[in-house]
Amino acid sequence: MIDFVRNRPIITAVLGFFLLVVVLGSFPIVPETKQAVVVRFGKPVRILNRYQAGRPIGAAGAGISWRLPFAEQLVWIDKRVLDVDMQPQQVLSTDQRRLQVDAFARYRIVDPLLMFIRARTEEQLAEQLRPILGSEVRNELGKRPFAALMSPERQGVMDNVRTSLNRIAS
Amino acid sequence: MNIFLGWGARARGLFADNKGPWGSSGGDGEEPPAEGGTGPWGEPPKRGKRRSVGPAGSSPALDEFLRRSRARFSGDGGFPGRPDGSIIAWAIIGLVCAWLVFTSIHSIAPGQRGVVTRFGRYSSTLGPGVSLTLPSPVDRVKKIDVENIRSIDLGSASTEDLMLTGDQNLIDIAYSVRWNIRTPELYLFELARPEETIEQVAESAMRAVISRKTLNDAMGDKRGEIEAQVQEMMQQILDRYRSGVQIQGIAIKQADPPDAVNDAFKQVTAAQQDAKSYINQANAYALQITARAQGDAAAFDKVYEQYRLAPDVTKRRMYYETMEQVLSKVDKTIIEAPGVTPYLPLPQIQKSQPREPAR
Repeated sequence: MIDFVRNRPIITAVLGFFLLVVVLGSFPIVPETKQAVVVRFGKPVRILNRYQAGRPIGAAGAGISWRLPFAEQLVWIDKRVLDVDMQPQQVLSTDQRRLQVDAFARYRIVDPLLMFIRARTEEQLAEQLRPILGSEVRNELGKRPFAALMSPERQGVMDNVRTSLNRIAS
Repeated sequence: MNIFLGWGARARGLFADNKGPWGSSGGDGEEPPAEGGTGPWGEPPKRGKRRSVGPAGSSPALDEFLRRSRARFSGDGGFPGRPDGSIIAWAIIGLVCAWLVFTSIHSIAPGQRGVVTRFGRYSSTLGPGVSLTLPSPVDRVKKIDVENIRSIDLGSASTEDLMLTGDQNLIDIAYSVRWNIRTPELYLFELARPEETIEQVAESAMRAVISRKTLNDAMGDKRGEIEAQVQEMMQQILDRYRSGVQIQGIAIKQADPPDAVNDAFKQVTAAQQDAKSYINQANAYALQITARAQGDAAAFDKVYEQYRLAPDVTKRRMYYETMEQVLSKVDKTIIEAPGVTPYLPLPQIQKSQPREPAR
């Protein structure tokens, strides 16, 4: 063994490096802020560190994991609360008043697999969510008279937008 | 099994041509597997080509480098025992020790917390003081300042931040939000962009609260109430996001009508002040008049008193005094007896004479 190392130092070094890369590659570290879809030759097989509502931080999920080197790939997906911000736009209410509306939505990816299949990346997801949010806001505000948007009914409007957004997005 | 056979072939292919092994093996580790059935190692033609180029490319310089490096490693006796070898060994040991010390001892300042992640998974939060963890690649510590109260300013004097009040007026508002981190691990792991989130939540809450107040309330004495309500609302929303953020307070710095009507508002205020000053003037004048009237009445009372004592004398005297007052300012021609006609208007000549020398 030692003779082999002495005679072929470069081969040994390359071999060692190669081994290191393989070993490091097969035990990925999953941080708390990410979820990962394990894809084997393009086919999703497992989900690492999936978000579950109400589970405290530090419970099982994140940490060291494994994968088959070369055969499996990890697709990282953010586990945190993300946001999508709508450009301010004009909306007509039922009593024909023009409203300047600025809305934002916060969301969390709870099904990374579905999200990976539908949207592939987080950027694309945000791109897809933005027009949905815009149209939902317009729909909801279009049903209301102007006065209802002031004061207590406002919360109801926001809840309605949220439920319909959830329905479409899932 | 197939995979390992593939590796073997690949490794052999790599080592057969002795050129640039670092470059090509570095790429192998991260190389994504090709899609479909071909696999990442389905590239024998390329390898063949490379091998054919190999011998021609292995220049004398490379051979010499190989020989030298071989001599360096397998020269006389290896490094244990040799002085320079032991220095290298000690240096490495020293470096490792230093690295262990630096990455496993953490001093956390008061007001800070250290969030420890073990292989990426959250394990604990360190309080202030010196604490020990496992060395770096295993445990990582992120220090978070929790006591420091941060402040976000929303809206400013220069830009307009218009909001709709409950009585359908616009108000230009500027306010700041003071917050700190309550739960560092939630702050780190739950929100993708905490600061932006706080900003947007603050704006949303402020609009919601303002839309329930009238313009006068918002500009006037209800500010404290608005601030408290916004704070409570923001805290609710942020808790729902599990953000680990504590809102310390809201301060409304400015609540004005929008620029376009601000002048009009100022004019209204000015007009109100004018009105007030006119009323004051009028009151003062009324007082003055009353006082004078009372004085006159008192004087008249005095005169009446005298008149009552001696009506005839007083009446005559008053008549004389009045006639004196009246007639002293009037041109008069006194004619003694009836039937006499004045032939020369002497006083008018006298009046017109002094004007002539003035010309």
